[in-house]
Amino acid sequence: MSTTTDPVTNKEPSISKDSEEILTKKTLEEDDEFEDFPVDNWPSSATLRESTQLQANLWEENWDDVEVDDDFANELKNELDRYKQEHQ
Amino acid sequence: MNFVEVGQYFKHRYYDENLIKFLSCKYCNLEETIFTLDHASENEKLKELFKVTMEIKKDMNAFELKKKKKLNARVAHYKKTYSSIELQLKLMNRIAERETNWIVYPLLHVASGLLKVTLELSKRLRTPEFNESCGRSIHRCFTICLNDRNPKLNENKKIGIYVFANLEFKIYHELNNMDMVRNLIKVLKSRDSGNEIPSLRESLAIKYNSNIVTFNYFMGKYYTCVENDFTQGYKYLMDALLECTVRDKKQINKILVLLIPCAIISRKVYPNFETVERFQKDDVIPKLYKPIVECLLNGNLDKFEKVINNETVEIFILKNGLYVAINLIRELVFLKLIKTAVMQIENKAVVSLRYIATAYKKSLHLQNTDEESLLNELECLLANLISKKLVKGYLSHSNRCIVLSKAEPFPKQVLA
Repeated sequence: MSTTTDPVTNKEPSISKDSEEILTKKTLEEDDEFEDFPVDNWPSSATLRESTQLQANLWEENWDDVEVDDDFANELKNELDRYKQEHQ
Repeated sequence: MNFVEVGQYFKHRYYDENLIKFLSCKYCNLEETIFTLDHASENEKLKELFKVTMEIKKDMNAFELKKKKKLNARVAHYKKTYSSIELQLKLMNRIAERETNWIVYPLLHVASGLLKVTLELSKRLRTPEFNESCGRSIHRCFTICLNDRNPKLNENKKIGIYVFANLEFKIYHELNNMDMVRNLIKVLKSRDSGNEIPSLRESLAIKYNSNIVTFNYFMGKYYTCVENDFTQGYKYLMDALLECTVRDKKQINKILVLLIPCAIISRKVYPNFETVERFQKDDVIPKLYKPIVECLLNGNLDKFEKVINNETVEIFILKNGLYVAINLIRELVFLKLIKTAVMQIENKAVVSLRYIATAYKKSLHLQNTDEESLLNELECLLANLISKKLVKGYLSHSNRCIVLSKAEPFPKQVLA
């Protein structure tokens, strides 16, 4: 499942520079040490578990049940409708 | 002026911030704090420890106060400090063997000091020798704690195993040696199943609870990136995340980078980016995972390839040990595509592979492909989904179709 190759230039098609597609090098290459916490102990009331609703709000249920209505979804639907008409 | 008689701590078996200040390899004004050791002390090991530690402090201070620090001088300083602290740790280890568990936290500070200097050297020399030797010295602290046979549980040094395990995790990651990580976890698991060691929350980690986050993070990282056990990975990483405070943005970021793929794979959920953005330090998480989740929701394989084949993203994925996880998510994007296509037809029991091929071609922007080999490829991909119980049904090669279970063609529970 590799990307298609342009037979003329034999190069991969250039990727559009949408901001969401390009990750800025700076942020991704930064390498912080995980362990240097500003202090090494805190009361349990300060943890995310106790002080926020994180557990309830972090996840959206089931990506496989969500129906999206974007450009790709519509194009896919049209393509499949065409197939169905041709094969009835 | 502050006078600190170091021998008192060892005599009365306790510690406070002054002893920690004495043992740590940090700058401290020796004119403001005067450390002493009673000359009548009979304890030879303690005398030696005092001497070595005072030398380290003087060296550290002299170096700190220097204005210009050239690279060579810096390396020479760290090398010298390394051998002094290694000696300091060896002496502390020998003392610790006969002490009760009051010694664990002071010992941890000496070991952390050695680790700190080792990492400075590692950054500049890029040779493993100091890391390996540091790993061995710290492992000695770990085994002293682990093998303490003191029957009085309130004095037993086993409470120290997790804080030293954390230092070992760190040094093994620096060495990029996952076998050492695996061995350490094996030891902990085997002693844990025999009920021979305290749990994380019964250990010293509960008093210095940044250690709870760190331990759960490294355990989660091991299961996610080495064992590819995303269910265990999710469990440990979620525990790590919930023990953080809102100001630990850096750690939250690092946890989420691993936790999000675990959740996608093992629980079929996906992150609420509004929530994520409230807790993060920069925009790494949404930049990486928003486009991936978008593809997961609509089944766009071509977009997915483009997202992860970006060179910077690729390096990030490899560096963070997420190669396998991301490849599994690719399979889930394919699954979503199949499910979306199947949901759009009346007869969901028997689905022609040519129909699925239409969706597949659209998703990958394929044109003029050889139909037969495309169908073979699809059979292979679908067989994988069936074998992983992501799809319930069977393939008919002669009829070029997939026969799906009526009850539950796309099972809810993911078995990762």
